[in-house]
Amino acid sequence: MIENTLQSAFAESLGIPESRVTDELMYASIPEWDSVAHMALIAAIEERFDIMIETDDVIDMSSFAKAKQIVAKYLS
Amino acid sequence: MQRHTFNAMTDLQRVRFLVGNSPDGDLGTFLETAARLPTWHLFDERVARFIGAVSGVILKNLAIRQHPELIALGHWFRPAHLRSLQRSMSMEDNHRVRLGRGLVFHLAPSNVDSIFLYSSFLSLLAGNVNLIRVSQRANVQLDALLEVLRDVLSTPEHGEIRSRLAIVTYPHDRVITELISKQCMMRVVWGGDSTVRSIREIPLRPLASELCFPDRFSLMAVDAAAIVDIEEKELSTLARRFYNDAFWFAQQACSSPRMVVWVGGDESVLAARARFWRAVQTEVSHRSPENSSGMTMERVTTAVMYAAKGAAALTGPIHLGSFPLRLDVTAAPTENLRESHCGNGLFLEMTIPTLRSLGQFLSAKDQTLAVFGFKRETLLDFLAGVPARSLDRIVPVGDALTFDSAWDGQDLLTSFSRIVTVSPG
Repeated sequence: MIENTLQSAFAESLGIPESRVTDELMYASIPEWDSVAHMALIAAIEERFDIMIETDDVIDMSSFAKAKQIVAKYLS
Repeated sequence: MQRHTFNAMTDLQRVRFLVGNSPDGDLGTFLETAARLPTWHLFDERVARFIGAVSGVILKNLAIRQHPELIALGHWFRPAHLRSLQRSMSMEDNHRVRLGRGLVFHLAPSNVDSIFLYSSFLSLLAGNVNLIRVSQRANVQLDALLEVLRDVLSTPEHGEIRSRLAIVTYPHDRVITELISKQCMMRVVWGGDSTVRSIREIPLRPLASELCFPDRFSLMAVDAAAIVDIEEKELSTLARRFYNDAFWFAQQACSSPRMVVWVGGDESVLAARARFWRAVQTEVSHRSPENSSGMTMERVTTAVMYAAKGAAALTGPIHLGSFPLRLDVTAAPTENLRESHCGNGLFLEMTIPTLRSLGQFLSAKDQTLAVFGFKRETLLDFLAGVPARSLDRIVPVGDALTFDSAWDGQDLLTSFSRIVTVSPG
């Protein structure tokens, strides 16, 4: 559930197909996920899950796998 | 008298409404209507919804990604952050409510600094009606933003905001500025010292207040020992963060660091500088910031001027064609010398034994000190020794340009609103 919603938030904010959003997807590993897109991504995740992500976690969110862990922490 | 009226009419016709509800772009009608509109509560839901919608459009439109400063704006005003701002302002007091002040007249700066947009949005959130005068100079970022605002405002859902947010442009014209100043309850002036001075001569209503954001100078202080010790990966992160501080807006924002202060003994400073600038050079070559011939010309001219005044000299292997261009300070960097700094990738460098000794060089001009490697206690001890009114922000390297709702020492939401006491009886 978290995974699907998160996947679509990633795909929409980075402008890439969902099939490319895998655990191996890393920050700055593709041109679409740069520091500018990261700001849009954070806002999209917050909106989907109705949470506010703290600055430390914004910096920490360096891969799709890591994003799942971080979001799970806010939802628990 | 006849002639004066005629002139005033023509002047008014020179006001162009870029965003806003005024029929036929008529300033007179706008001012009349604006004066009658009620002020709203801080964080009125209608405004929060509107700003959230603007943020959403900015962040979702991939074409806007080419304007990082707009994305930063959209990110700052995202709904989750608005809610946290609102929580920070909530007053646990039944006898007090916070309302807007009325019509707020914002005069935006002519340079690219987009901070004035944050302040205008905060003023809207504070419950005010806003008239924003922007420069006539063409600006792609502003055009992109105006398009977003027009789009969102055109939906019926945000119809009520249309009369509370007008963006206009007009040639420098004292008559128009006087007319608006006579009507507004607050004036917010962004710009160079001379602009602020000339606007301040124009009277306001007795109850009106004014916020001015004149030119400021910003710098960075680094504990040399901390740089010598960090790992390569951390160093490149630091270089990337410094790049964002210093190279965005071509080093022209008030908060862009223009002087680098090295704190420590000669030996560690020497090692730290070499390491740091090597990492910065790598970052610069990856990201190839704007460096037009005009920028190069200004940078070199300023460097030559500094050298001629005996204020600064080229550092080691650096030559005039280097970018960034670094100069060693050879005399006390007076306020006057710092004011002549042109941005565009020019860095004055100075070495001092302890952070505390930086205080003697500071003045009211100085706004942001970006820091690396200092403990909170060290910073507080240093702050106790700085001259009155100097330094409004001490932030980590990388956050120099990050907007904060406290700006130039003012909490903007507080300044833009007023407290109304309501005690039932």
